Amino acid sequence: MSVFKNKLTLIGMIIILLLLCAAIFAPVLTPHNPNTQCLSQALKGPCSDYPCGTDEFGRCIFSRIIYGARVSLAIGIAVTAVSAAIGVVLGMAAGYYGRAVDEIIMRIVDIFLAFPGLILALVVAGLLGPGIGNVMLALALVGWMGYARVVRGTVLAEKEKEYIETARSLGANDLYIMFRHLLPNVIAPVIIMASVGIGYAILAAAGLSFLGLGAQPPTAVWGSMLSDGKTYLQTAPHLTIFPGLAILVTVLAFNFLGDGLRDLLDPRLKDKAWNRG
Amino acid sequence: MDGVGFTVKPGETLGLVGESGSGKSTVARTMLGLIPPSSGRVFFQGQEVLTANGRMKKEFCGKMQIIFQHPESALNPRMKIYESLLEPMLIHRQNSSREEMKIKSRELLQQIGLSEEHLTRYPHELSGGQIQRVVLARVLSLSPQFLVADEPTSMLDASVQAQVLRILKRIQLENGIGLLFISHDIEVVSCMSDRIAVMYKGQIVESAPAEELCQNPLHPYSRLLVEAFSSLEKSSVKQVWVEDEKIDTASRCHYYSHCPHAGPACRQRPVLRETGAEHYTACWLL
Amino acid sequence: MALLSIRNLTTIFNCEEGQLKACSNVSLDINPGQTLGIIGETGCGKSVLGMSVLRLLPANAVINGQIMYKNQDLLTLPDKEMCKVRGSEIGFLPQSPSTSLNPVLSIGEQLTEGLQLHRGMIKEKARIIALDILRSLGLKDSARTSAEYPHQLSGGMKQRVLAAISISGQPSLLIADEPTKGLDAVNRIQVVDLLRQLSRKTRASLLLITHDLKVAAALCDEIAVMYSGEIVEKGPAEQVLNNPLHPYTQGLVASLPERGLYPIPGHSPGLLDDSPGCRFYSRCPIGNEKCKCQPIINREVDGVHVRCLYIDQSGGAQQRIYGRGFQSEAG
Repeated sequence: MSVFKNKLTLIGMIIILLLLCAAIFAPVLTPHNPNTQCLSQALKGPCSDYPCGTDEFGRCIFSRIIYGARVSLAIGIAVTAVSAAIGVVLGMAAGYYGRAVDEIIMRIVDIFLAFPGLILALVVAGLLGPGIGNVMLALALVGWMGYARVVRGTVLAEKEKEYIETARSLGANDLYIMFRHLLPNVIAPVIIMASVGIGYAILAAAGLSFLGLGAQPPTAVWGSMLSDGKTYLQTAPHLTIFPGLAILVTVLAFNFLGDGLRDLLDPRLKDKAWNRG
Repeated sequence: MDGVGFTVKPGETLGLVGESGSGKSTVARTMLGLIPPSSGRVFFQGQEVLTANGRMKKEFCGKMQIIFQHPESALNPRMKIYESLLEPMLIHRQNSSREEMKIKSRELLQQIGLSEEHLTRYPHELSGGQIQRVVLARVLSLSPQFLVADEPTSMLDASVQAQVLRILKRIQLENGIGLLFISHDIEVVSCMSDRIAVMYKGQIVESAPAEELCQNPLHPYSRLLVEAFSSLEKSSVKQVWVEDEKIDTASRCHYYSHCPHAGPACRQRPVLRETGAEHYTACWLL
Repeated sequence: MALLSIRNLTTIFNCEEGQLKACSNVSLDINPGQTLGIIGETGCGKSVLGMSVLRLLPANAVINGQIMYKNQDLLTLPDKEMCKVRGSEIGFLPQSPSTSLNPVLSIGEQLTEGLQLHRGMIKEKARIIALDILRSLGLKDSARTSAEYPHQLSGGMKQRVLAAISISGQPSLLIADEPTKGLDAVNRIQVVDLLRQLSRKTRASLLLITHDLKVAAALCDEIAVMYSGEIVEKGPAEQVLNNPLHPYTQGLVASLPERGLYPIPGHSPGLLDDSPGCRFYSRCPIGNEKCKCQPIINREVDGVHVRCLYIDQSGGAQQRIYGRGFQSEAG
């Protein structure tokens, strides 16, 4: 299968699977409780007892990263799912109905796009107050426009095809056509965008928690770990290096997966190109 | 498209010929309510189609069907063949049980000469001719009484075209379906049709029984079409085609700028009038 | 002396599914000034044959055999030399006029490009020649046309412009790939007329690739019928079309509307299939076990080469082989 031909996709998939396992089996995998403070062990470098060292309160960084994976993955997946859903529904409506509906929806998209995404999220999260749920909502609200645009474009091309006209001539209603015929044909680019989007959402969530808007202490989140560690950047760099690496690897893994899916998801790509003679 | 009118009787085939861009496909789509017309009405079994809504509309949709030109986009690329085949029945909730539908889909496949292994394939795994046959089977599943075939074989090779046309003709005669057969190939049309209507720039310029039209075309454009096939082999084509769309004025005969016989009378648009037994022509010069 | 002579040309695509043999052991000759038609159905490899001559195939294609053009083998020519051959020696008339012109360059620019490149002309002279060529192809207001952009032209005019480009290098051989595909009757006459004009004016040979038997009949001196990568019949056009010998050619002719729309049953084997016998065996109304396993050799009958074990010379065999009449079956 071509998925395994592409080594990067494979690597991406393995990393994501490992992360998921880590998140699920966190209590088993971690050597220490992520929130137990042990001030006598504070700011220790990596050693046999603490694989990634300890932070300023003597908490095990390795354990905190593993527990942080839970929050990060949850945020990434939930944010992407919500924004993709909003984008698909609005994009499909805009593309299918056209005219006024299209005009209104696309202008809303333009308005949202006019604000820099992270700043907008910051404002929304600031208004709603700190907390994981609010961060997710804020990120979903600024992330759906891309999906809407892509879906609208694909629908515009696809709705002119004869099978759509046939379905209309059979008496199928609009909802049926949109969900039975159009959705499966526009979902491929959405999935590709989503897999990259998860990485982006994790990064953005880390950014927001770095700024203190995400999960509240003592919950372990990669972004706030970075933020807490920056004070000790010169004396104990491992406080920032390890959570930073976790973010980097995760985002990269989702990007690799997205690239691979692009090639895989089109059944027509497997056609023999020279069948046409 | 301008002032087009015709009738198709049960079991009859009306052929609609014309060059690309003459409005043939627009006629087809308008009749089924896929494009709203600026004015005009379509009657099916004495009832008006275009203004119908709700249940009436759905009923019409079941009885009037259409086949399009491009096999590569005729079926949803992400649905397996059996899903596409069953779709009309699902939309119209005809056969309630899954089993019955399976049996029906096998029967349909047999009628069009495809085997069961094709059921689980995707459209891109089938050839153009096979897809057009699946489309035919799908149309049949609702037992329509009127069928529009919009250039169903113009993208197919000659031998495959023959296959599809034969199946279409057989199905039509077996089920007594009224057929509107649209094509730019007058030879194919004359094989398929009882009557032929020639369309030029959105207007029907001549209409006559198939044989009559092929042997005795009266309108200069029909004459050109009929001669087009034999004149291929001659050393040169006698007609000069000037590309001057821009001068086309609103009120004169559409064919004015290309017509070798155009005279002063042709500055006014001609209407269809009887020029022979069941033979109608829109030309002043007859 | 043939202008182009193809010997044992085999073109193979290396795909995921295996080796796809688009042309196998094709041998053809085109004499100067002659028109050779390659006819066959979609997917029989006829376009690949044309592209093999120009060496314009994707990287996974392997071409074997010999393509002798004016006594040099095109297949052994270095890439740089081959570039010179394309356009100046061999012209190519592509299939779809709507997508084959660059939309952002004016007609004049696209036409003079070839002249400057292949005939080393300065811009001014190239422009004069370009206008001449356009005029000779029936575009009366050639000065206006050359200043226009592709979207301002009708389909027929674009086809003329493409024809002008293809002959601007004064080639001795023109390859036209499906020039009438998807055209209606009237446009089809125009294209046939155009091609006729071209070969009369330039005295170039024409390799016409088409699935339209009528166009082939109107234009060709010789016809080669291709089926599933092989040439199954070749000979003088009239003979091949009026008295076809190979069952496949007979089927093709019989499937024309005026011959009664008799279909050929079944469909062609994939080009991946590599069985030794006759490729048409599965659809052939007269084939038997012998055809299935034994390699079929070419035989010559009255100047026509046929790849079939059972050559029926009695004529009118098609009626016997391919079923009842259209209306009779229908009724």
